Amino acid sequence: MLKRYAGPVLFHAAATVIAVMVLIPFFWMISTSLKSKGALTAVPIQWIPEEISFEGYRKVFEVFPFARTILNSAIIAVLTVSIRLTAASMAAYAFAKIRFRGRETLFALILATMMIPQQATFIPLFLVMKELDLVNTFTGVVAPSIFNAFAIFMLRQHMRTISDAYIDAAVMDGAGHRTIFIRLMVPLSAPILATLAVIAFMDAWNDYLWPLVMLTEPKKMTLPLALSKLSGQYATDYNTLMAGSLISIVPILIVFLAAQKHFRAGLQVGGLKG
Amino acid sequence: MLRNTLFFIAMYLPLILAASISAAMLLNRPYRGVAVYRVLFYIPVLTSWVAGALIFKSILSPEYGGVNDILRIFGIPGPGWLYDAKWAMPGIVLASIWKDMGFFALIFLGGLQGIDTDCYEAAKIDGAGVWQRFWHITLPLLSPITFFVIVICLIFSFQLFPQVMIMTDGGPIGATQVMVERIYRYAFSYYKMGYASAFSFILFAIIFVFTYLQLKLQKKWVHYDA
Repeated sequence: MLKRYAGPVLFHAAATVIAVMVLIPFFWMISTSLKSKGALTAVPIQWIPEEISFEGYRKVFEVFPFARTILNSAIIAVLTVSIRLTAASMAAYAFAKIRFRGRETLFALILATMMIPQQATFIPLFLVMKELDLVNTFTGVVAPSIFNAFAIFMLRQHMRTISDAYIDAAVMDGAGHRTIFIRLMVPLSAPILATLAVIAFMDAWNDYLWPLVMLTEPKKMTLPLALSKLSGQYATDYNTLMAGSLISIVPILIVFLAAQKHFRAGLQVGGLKG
Repeated sequence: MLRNTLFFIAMYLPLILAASISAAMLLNRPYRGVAVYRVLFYIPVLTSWVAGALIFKSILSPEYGGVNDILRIFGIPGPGWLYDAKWAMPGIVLASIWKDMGFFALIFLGGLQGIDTDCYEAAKIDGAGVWQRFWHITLPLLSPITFFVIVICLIFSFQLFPQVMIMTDGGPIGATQVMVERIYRYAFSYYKMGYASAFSFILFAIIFVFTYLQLKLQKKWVHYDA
């Protein structure tokens, strides 16, 4: 009897310990966001605020165009997802199904760019954007996402597994590249596209370095930028900062939980076991 | 500055490997409720670094922070964390492990699920204990994944940026100044674009050399014949 329960009990004990360590910072964030300014420096520390106060939430919208910031983040995330997926799926179709000279070399070059981190290219990229007069525009922020080697790679790997028989049949019916791409390749790549959409959304929503150099006007800032700006101005008002952090986390959690099933399925189809 | 990065790696790499392998082994157990833990462990990965860094700045506050409060329960006087040149980098490491564990645990989980259970059965029959099975079966069979994770971890380490910007801004007395933070400072605080560009290229060269060396060294310890 005892032995039968020992396994699950040990498992849940160990997993709970890790889960608690992971969750304490989030608990701290929620609890701090609900404290009044006075309670922040109360000793002994109040893990659960004695009095619930929404001061932090009120202030975060008062001292900064925070609602505007949320909208900006949403616009940039949606633009990034659509631009990245459109460009990557068209490129992937060409690399997977159209024969042309230098195809493999070109593809190898694209893969090689995955080796170069954003942190090494953001200065020259910024200088280019400055010449193009795209600093402080959303166009400038989302433009580099037209090219994403990982998305092209994942989609090409998948499209290569789609049988040429489908394409031959479509060609017999008089379909051109555009019809084949829109009516055949895109629907058949739906699971991968869903996965890549979630990844692109998270990238854009959470990105810090690139928006930091591109957007300097408060009205145009994204959520992470607004938070870092706030932390510079109100360094000790942790109730305000934690309220802002919580607001920035909730949308991405909703997107992830809603997409979780697609996400795991997509990674497995793509040959990268999740 | 490079010394700060190496100090970070020396703490971060062993801890993140231990944490994410342990978490992955737990998540690989066929018990009920495992899916819930999988999602819980992954929440920090979804959180933006800015929010994560702000949470840690708050919880690591020497007097009013939760971490030192917990240490107090055990009678340990907590350090000054981000305000102490000696403890600022360990504070950043702590935050980074919290943030990245779920990501690497998921990668290791994929590797563990690929290990044939017959190997374990055979070892059990031969009388191998839990530790022997871990050291002689799990770790060697997991080595391709471990290799991949180490490569990514080192690349992550050289790219350390948002956590430093938000938590310490390179301080105290330069103890947490790292490459990308310097590049950003030279370009956008001192307006030395040429200097910053040159620096970016050095960063790329360092990452390239490190990755190349690892590709060469892997023959010595990575087993691909599973």
